[in-house]
Amino acid sequence: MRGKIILKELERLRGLGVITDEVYKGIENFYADEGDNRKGFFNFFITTGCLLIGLGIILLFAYNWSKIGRGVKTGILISSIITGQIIFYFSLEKKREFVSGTGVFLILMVGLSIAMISQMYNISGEDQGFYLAWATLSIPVLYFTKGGINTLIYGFVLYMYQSSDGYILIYMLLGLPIFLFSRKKEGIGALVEASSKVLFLIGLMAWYGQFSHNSKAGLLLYSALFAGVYTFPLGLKKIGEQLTIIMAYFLTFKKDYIFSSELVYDKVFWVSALFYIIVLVLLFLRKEDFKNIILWNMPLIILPLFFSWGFIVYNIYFLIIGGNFIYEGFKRGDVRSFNNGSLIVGGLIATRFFDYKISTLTRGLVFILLGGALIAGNLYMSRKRGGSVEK
Amino acid sequence: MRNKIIFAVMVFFQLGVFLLMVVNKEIIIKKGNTHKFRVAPRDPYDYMRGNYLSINLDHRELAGDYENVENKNGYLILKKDGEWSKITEFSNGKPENMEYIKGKIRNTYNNKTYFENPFKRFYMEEGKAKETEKKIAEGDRSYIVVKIYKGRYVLESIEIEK
Repeated sequence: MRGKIILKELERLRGLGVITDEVYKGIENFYADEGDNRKGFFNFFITTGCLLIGLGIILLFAYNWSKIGRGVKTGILISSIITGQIIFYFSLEKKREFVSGTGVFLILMVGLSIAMISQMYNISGEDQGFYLAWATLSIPVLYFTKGGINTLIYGFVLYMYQSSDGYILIYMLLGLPIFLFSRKKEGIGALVEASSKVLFLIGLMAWYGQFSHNSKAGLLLYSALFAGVYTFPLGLKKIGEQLTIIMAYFLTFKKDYIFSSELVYDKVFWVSALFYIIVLVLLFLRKEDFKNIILWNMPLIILPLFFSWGFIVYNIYFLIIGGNFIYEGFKRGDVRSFNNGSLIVGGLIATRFFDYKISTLTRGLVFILLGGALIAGNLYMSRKRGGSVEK
Repeated sequence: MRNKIIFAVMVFFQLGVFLLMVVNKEIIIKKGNTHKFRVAPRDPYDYMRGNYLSINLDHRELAGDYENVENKNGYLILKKDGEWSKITEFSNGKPENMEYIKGKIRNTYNNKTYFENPFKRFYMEEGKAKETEKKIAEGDRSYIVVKIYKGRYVLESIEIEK
């Protein structure tokens, strides 16, 4: 509203020749961006509100009120689903900004209804039936919401289905909507959709991993998957990086990984290795920067896992990842990259301090130094950035 | 228009499935035969469905020899001994003139065949499951009442005997 009044006045000033077209366009873009940001915030709070209300209702009925009879409970479950459908329809027709939130609410009400039927009739089957019904009945919601947070909730339900010994073919079939209905190109929506895709892929790997009883085969499987997430053109490069960082972090802990000949007979190990070779070929074909291949392809340094000293290599690897972010931050004047790197390096140092017995004095000093370096680095970066703006 | 049709299909699909589930179970409760099984339950929690008693039947073994039945789905045949029912046999085909439920063989071990427990959970109001579990731990005996109709079943109640 405020923007509209100002723009009207500016239009008058432009007409009088007081301001140029360029200045007018700049101000107009500024208010357009501000409007978008406000809309984004509004959607975020509406969706979070719907999520909380839906979860609250689920918890309320998870109490399983014994004084309420089956008839009344049936009435409640039918009205909860109808309420969900009505508000979803209303938002589709009249208030598009509510679609995400009401979609979340409807998916949760579908879950609530199945949970209530399970309660009422003590359905004893495995959880897979519960999650299968929930996911299947939620697919139309994904069609209408065109992805976003609903995809992630759906992805979670689907992942639970797979974790409860669901059939892999059904899992893959039900995974299709995640890819078909994901339309967000940027912002939080795109990140959320990317997370649901990765969750789906992890579910797939978890299914495959169960055929191996060797933890090292599993490590190769997951690190190859994360390298694949980084490589395949699914728009998940950043997530591939993050997953590799998380996995590298867990490998920095000292564990007794000693080579066992069983691994040679483990088909999960060999299939993972084959999958990773495909990833590598793809990377070389698209002429990826050599530094990136080294950094985001953990299977390249899978060999140390066979030795008890392997964790030292992973500590160095993790430090290199953090160092690279810091270096890139300095080079490009990017504070976010610098902070990411500092967080990785700081996180590793802090973890090692809790991991080994080091005097409190040394710990304190290193923390102070680390904190000082972080502040100094940020100040330097902001000055550098400020300088470049002035230029 | 296309979206309105899809929305209408979604409404009927979601409501239809739930109503069908409810009606199906109500038919079993109204028309089914009553069976009582001796059980030993304990109390866990499900984040969506709340507290429940995890039920273990007092028997898991079938009478007779079976070959290549591991993980097979089929029919578990019931036998009534006075007041109490037991699962005693397995059949690949639908049994005639016998009470049965749809079920599965879990495994075979040392020439013994074990069936998959079909009655796993009894949902209870928060707190009551713990209370019931405590009573059973103190020595009270328990049993479940199951309604069975044409191989389908509903676990109706859990009873505690002093």
